[in-house]
Parts: sequence; C-alpha cells; structure tokens
Amino acid sequence: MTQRSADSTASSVGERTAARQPGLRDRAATQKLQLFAVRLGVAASRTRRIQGNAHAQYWALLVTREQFDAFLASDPLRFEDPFRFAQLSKEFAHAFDNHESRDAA
Amino acid sequence: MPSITTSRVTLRERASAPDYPTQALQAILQIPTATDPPELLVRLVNATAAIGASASVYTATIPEGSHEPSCLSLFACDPDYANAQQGLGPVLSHPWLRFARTHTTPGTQRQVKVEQCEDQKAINLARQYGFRSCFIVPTPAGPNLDRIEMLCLGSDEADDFEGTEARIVRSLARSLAAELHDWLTHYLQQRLRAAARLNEGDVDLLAMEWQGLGTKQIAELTGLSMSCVDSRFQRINSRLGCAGRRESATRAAAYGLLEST
Repeated sequence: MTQRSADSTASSVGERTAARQPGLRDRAATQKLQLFAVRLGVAASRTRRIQGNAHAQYWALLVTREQFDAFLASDPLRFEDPFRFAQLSKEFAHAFDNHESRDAA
Repeated sequence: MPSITTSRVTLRERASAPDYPTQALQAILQIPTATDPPELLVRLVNATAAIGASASVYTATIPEGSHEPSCLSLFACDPDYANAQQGLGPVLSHPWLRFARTHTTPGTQRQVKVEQCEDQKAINLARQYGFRSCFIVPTPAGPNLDRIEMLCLGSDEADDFEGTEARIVRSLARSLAAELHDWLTHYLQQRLRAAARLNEGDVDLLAMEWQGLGTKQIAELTGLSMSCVDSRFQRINSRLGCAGRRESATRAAAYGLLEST
C-alpha cells in the first residue's frame, strides 16, 4: 500500500438544515455531512452548528459498503436532496471496491 | 455486533505476546503525522487494534467563549454506535465525559457513576458495541481551561483493564491519549490562526489579556497607544467571532494558541 493511498484522496460535502433538536429550544441547527476516501474505506463526519462559533462534530470509519449505505441511509440528505445523495453514493463506491480488491490481493 | 478487531484473541492474550508493546507503540507513534481528522481516525483505529482493544472513542470539548463548547468525537468502532449515541443526546452529558471532567487520573467502568436513567442507557448502548469493559483516560488541558479530552478504550471481555496484568495496556492507553491531545492542540492552533488570520502581534496581545493585563499595561509593554490597543482588540474580537477581548483570549487559550507565547 502506498503512502499516497493513505491520504484523504477525495472529499465531498452535503449540507442540510436539520429539524430542531431537543435542548436547542428555538434555534435551528445546520448540519453538514462530509465524506473522505481513506486507506481503510471512507471517513464520514456529521457536523452540527450549535451557536456562535460552537459546533459538534463526530467522525466514524466506514469499512464496508454495507456500513456506508447504512450511514447514509440514516441521513436526512437522502430525502432532502435525493440527487446529491445518489451522487455521493456513486462517488464513494470506488473507495470500497479499491479496499476490497487490496484485501483480496 | 462487529467490532474493529476480528480475531478471537483476547486483550490479555494479546498483551502477553513479547512483541506487543513494540507493535502497539509503533501504531501510537503514527498519530502525530496525521494531517487531518479523517487520517487521525484511521490511525486511531490502527492504534486501537494494535493495543488489542475492541473499540475506542476519543472526544474533546473546546470552550468557545460565552457560548456552548465545541465538541469533536472520533469513533474507532462500529459506525452504528456513533449514530446511536448521537440519538441518545449530546455527548457532553455522557457519563464517560463526566468522569473525564471530574478526574485527572484514568479509571475503568467501575469508577463511572450512574446518576440518572440516561447514564445507564448510554452504558448499555456502549456495551453492545465493544465496550463491555472500558478504560477512560482523561486529558486535562491545563490550568484555567475548560477544555476536556477523553479517550475510552473498550473490550468485549469483562474487566479486561483491571489488575496488574493489564498495567501495560493502561500505560499504552495513556500514551495514546497524550499523542491525541498533542495532535489536537496543534490542529486547533493552526485552524484558529488561519481562520482568524492572526499574526504574532495579535497572539501576543491575546496572551497579555489572558494574563489579566489592562489596556494601560499592554500599551506600556508594547509601545502602542491605548487607543491603538483597543482598536487592535476590536479587530481581533471581530475575526475570532467573540463579543469581547476576554472571550477572545479564552478562545485562543482553549485552542492552544497561547502555549507558544
């Protein structure tokens, strides 16, 4: 495996406005979905802007296509922007294909 | 439930192998070279597997002046856990993070207090995803800072982090937490400096404010006029998105920007 393949080689961002969160009262929060192709699959993050400079972000590693599909399926982006959702799915499918073919080798 | 390690070798068995510390340390030493959070996550997954843990979570809360803190979490485990945990509520109220907020030394699940029904739900959920037993390493960020960091290593086995035989695992976990803390500090410093376009002079002013110096004292030390000091702070506050200079200094300190002054 080359060092180059360990780097984040692709990224994509889908932005959406989330439903109002419990505990946030009347403040609408903006959520952002980010995907990065990495050596082991796809690193995915969700970022929620809270107030002012504050935001909450979490990252998870998706190492199989099933995990990728499940992660995106639970994201409202699927319903709010189906075209963008399909585009992201297609764009990152190669990350798992490459990973699986490396494993097979 | 899948965890990041697929072998059936237990953490204790793995820790007894002669090359265990070397391999684990090699994986931990990859942390500083990560250039961004996605790469850091990959390296955390590798280090977690090299230590022999089933899963790990790293969380940091970063004060943002008078607002709620920012929060960054890396889930080196089944991604379903990340989603399920978010569904339970903000990570700030998680019992592990509360442990980290109130302790300076690490502890296991035995030391985590269950104070309310939500705590038990959070712990039960974690157990399903490779945290049957766990080892929580708090990383205090220094005096007068509310930045809280926590690394939690998990195992599918009960009490894997207890006893003298797990001593080396606990030491490796502390080492990993320290590397993550250093990485985050450098990352935050760079990000804030670039986002707010702060130069060395701005950072010096913020450091003086953080030390509690007033406009007159800062003017004397820097050779600037008092009105010039005030207007410099107004520009800094604006770029940092803060309402006042104290808030700006607090934010800069939380992001580790004043450590180099």
